[in-house]
Amino acid sequence: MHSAFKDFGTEPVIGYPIIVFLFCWMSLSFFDRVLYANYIYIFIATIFAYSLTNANHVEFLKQHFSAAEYRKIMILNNLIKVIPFALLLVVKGFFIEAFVLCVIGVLISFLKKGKRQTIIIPTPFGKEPTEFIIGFRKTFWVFPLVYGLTGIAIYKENYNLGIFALILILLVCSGYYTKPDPAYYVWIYDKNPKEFLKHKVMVALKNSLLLVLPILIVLVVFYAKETHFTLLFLLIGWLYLIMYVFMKYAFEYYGLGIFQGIVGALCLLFPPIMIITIPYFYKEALRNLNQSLQ
Amino acid sequence: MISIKSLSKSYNDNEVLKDINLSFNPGEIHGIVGENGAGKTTLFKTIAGIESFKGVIEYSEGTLKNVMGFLQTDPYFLSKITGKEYLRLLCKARSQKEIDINEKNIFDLPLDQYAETYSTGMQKKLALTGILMQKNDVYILDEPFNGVDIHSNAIINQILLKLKELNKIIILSSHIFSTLYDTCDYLHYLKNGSILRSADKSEFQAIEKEMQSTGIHHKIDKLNLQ
Repeated sequence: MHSAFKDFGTEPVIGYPIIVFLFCWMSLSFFDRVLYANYIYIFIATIFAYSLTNANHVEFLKQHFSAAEYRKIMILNNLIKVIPFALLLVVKGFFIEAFVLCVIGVLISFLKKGKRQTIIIPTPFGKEPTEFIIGFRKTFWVFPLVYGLTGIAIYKENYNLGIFALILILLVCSGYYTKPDPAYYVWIYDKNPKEFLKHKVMVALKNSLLLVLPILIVLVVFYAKETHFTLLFLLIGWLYLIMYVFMKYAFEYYGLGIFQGIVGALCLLFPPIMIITIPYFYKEALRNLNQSLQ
Repeated sequence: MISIKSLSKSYNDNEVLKDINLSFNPGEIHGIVGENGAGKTTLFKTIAGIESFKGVIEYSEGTLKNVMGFLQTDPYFLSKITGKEYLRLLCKARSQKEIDINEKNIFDLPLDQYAETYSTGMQKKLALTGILMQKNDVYILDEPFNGVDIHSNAIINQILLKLKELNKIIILSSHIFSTLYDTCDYLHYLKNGSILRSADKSEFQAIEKEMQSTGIHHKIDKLNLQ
């Protein structure tokens, strides 16, 4: 994180308090606004801790430390990652959940994260081999869970839960655009920056529609009266996704993920900000792409 | 025709390319030779437009980058993309439609496996197949023979000759002189960022000798091997 701040152009002394403040603020807002926040929060914390485990780093530790020391470091690593979340749970009075999260933190340090996955997961995005193929293969397990959540929304007659599932899919899709492309993968296109961004946005919308379609159909069928709300949430979700597409090409440095996370969280809490952020990131992306696509 | 005039490239105060002047005609194969770090890859990246530069690069047939295939020394493959998906990506990027990928798989690559799991040679062959499928007019090949098996090297040689026959512009680099003898019409010796010498086929041997003689004995003596 220290080097990420430096790459981002922020002094760590300033960056750390900002991160702590944002983390507390976003977490507390999350608990105020989201149903079953205590369970979802555990899920988010687990994903966070697991996704930060780097296979190369794990290999380095294995090579340089004894088995017992390696295990201790891994457990400590994961506990450090989940402790801020656990503390927030304690603050909110969810003591059992905080304990469960710490146990999960210990357990995930025993999971093996493969350096190279060789099982080819089929995707419906073969015609447009872009971020969606890679992203889908990394997050394929999320979809059955979210579709299951939609089923619960119908069973429990909870429309909000259905909308949450729809938004969750679009959030996952936005996450596909957090890693910058190597220059070569932009350069190969025979398009100017405007055409390139339009193409990327169209692919993002088309592919995300494919993933949200089951939820959309279910919500329209079972909550026909709220269709206009459902479509409004879809539209906001798409704007969010488009913003992520532009952000990906607006900046080229490490730490992009952290920055996108902060902007994304702010826009999630107050979506009208996107009126400013989308045109801004679009302009920056055009400027940035001029070098590779002139 | 591609003409390069007064091309320079610097990274901060470090000038890696100095006043390069070259021209490449259709139906010609040009080899760029030089030691590691001479500036070959940077020269290729500037011609491709991936790197910014000072000077002028003109192409008589329109936008150069849209008709150029660039084979990088170490092609980078996105994670969780199969060979077939990589080829499709390259074709789509150049608006190529309805291409039979399996038919074009002349190196018999396992196209349904993730490209990142390929060996170095296989990755190079996949990247080469990709740029050939794009039907480019200009090819920049940075070390196309590096890491590739003998049989595939022979195929690459034949591909180069076929491209020459099809009036394409080909610029390549290689540290294996025999491959350059077989394919190139011209060689350009790049040293410390400058073109030291350009030569046609009759002078290739002289360039090779010049390269080999530049301080090799002196450098080995410095090692003080005992």
